[in-house]
Order: sequence, then C-alpha cells, then structure tokens
Amino acid sequence: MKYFRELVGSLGFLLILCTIYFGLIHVGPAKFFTAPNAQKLFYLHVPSGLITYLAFMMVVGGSSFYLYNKSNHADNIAKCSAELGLVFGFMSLSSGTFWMKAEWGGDIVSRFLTDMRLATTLAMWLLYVAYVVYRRQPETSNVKKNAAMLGLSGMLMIPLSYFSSRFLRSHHPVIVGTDDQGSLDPSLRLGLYMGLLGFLLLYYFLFMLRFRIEELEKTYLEKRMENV
Amino acid sequence: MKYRLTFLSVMMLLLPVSADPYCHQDECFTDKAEFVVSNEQIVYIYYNSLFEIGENWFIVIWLENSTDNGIDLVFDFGDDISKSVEIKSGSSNYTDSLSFSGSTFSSERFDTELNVSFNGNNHIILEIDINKKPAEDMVYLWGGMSVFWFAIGAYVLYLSNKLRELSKKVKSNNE
Repeated sequence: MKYFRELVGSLGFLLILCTIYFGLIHVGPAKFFTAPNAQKLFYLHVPSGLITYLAFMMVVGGSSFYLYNKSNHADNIAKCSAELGLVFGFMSLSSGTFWMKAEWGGDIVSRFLTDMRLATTLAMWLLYVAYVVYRRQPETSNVKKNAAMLGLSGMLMIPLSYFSSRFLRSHHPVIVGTDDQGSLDPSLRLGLYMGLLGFLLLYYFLFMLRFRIEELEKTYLEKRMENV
Repeated sequence: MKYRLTFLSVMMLLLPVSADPYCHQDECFTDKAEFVVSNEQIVYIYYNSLFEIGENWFIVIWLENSTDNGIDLVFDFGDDISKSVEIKSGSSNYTDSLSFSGSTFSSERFDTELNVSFNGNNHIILEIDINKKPAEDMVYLWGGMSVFWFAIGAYVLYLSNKLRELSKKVKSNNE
C-alpha cells in the first residue's frame, strides 16, 4: 500500500485529537486533585512517557543487535529511534513538569533532584541526548560501535527509571502495571488507551519517515563515494 | 522649578478626587446605593457590583444620623437566597455589614438583580454581575498541552526539511 505510512500517521494524529477532545471537553474536571484541570495532561503525559520507553528500548535492541552481528539495519533502527525517544521524552518531561508545578507546587529544580522518578527519567533522557549528539559525526565502524555501547546503557537506565517510582523515594503515582490500573475510572482508562494508541501510531509514522530519510542519506553518500 | 510646580499642582488636584469620602470601612467598595428613610436619615449601602464565585461577597450598611424607628433591611437575590439586617430604633450613625458566601452561586450570571427592601415597603434594585474566575491551573494545562504540538511540529518540520534537502542532493547527483 503506497500511502500506508501516511495513513497510519493521520490515524494517530486523529486519535490524539480525539483524546484531547475526550479529556478536555467530554470528561469534567477531575476529583480528588489539587489541580483538576491540569490533571487532563494525564491523557497525553502517560502515553508519551510510555512511548519514550518503547523508543529507547528500540535503541537498546538495535544496539545489541548491531554489536552481535554488525547489522547496519539494526544500527539505523537504534539511531532513528533515539531521536524519537528524545522527542517523546521531551513531551513527557515537559508536560509532567507543568502538571507537577500545578499539582504539587514547590520548586521544580529541587523536585527533579529529590524525586527519584524525575531524576532517573531526566538522566535517561540526557543519556540519549549524548547518544544523538555523538552520532552527529561521520559514521565509521568505531563510531557505530561506541554508539551501540552507549545505547546499550539504556538496559540499566530504562528499568531504573520505570521502576524508580515503585522501589525508590518518589511522589510520582504508579498506575500502569499495578493493581490500581484495574481500579482506574473507565473514562480515564478509555482516554489513556486512546492516547496511547494515537502516540503509538504517530511513533510508527515518524519512525518510518526518519528511517526512510536515513536510508536515502546512506544511499546518497555511498553513490557519492563511488563517483569520487 | 516650573515643571515641579506644575507636577505638584496636578497632584494636589488629583489626590482629593481619588479619595473616596464615603468609604467608612478599611476596604472600599466599587459601588454605593443610598436610600432616604426620612428627611434626615439616609441609609448608604456599599457593595461591589462584581460577585466573584469562591470569594465571600460583602455589603456594608451605613446609617447617617439617628433613627427613631427601627429599619428592616432585606437583601434578596431570589431563589430563597436572601439575608436581612435590622437597624434598631435609637441607633445613631449606625454601621453594619453582611456577607453572602462565595458558594452561593455556582455559575456565571450577569445583571443579576438584588432586591433591597426597607421595612417591607420600599425597595431598590442593585444589579450584580456574578463572575466565575478562570481556574488557576488552566495556565499549566495549556502550557503542558502546547508542549506536545510544539515538539511534534518542530520534529516534523525538521524531518521535512531534511527530506527536501536530501531529495535536492540526490537529484543533482543523478544529473
């Protein structure tokens, strides 16, 4: 199908718009929250956070596969996914900061330094900032290998960030993968799943587009080298 | 020197005007209504024409001169929302206040009539705007929401620029 990628992207975008409509207009202000309006960030904050983990796990997968069999394809997957992880991570961290300021108040910087969920997530994001910056240089096999090693460190950072709110000192609520997930209000659950699917489709679209650009770039460079 | 004198003159003219001679309380009010009970007795009602939902709304009553007969004042918004004050006979330069709770109203209503009756016979109508303040956390909601569009938009722009440049390069390379 010629326009499959665009179709998926449009569907994802539409689902995100539906989630926003659902969260902002259909569902009334949340109960039991200090900031009932800012709580509506939940519908996009949580899905973007989960997609960030997915993107960085793709980096870990691609990097480990590259180290295993020197597959350029796997390296491209890791490189493209890292960029997307930064984009979704930026969304999650920024929206979380706005929500945190409204709900918890206090000093943002000290929250990031003392709450382990925030600290580890920011550290994970910064690690992949370093990865993306490192990859902005001519791609020799040495650069790819070092990048893959850096990408693999996500094996430690991703679970550390994900489980930090469960086992370390953190105010961050834990919903996904706990008993509380079942007790979520059905309206919250519908909005959450709709937003998650929307972001997943958007991630697929952006990833395929970025991957296509990467392949085009490499083909162009190879041809150019041949001409030289 | 000339400018200083002009400035001082302007300030002397402005300052007495800005002071409210009728504000008998610490807080001044935006509006005032008066009702002549008899030739010498006047009841002043100080109020804000804006009722903010969530904040108590006050009325200050001030009676100038003394009264021989008691005065019953009833403030009635309708729908059983009313309060009353009794100024007893013999009161002199009497002052009193009453308040309506911030939760009296839950939605915005403009030009709401507040019927103030004196001894059940005479009445005046005050027009009050009931306002609902925007929630304080809305700014955080919109800030957080814009982050998503900013990030997606910026990244799509970055990708499309990159694709366009690459297509140009490939085209020129093929030629």
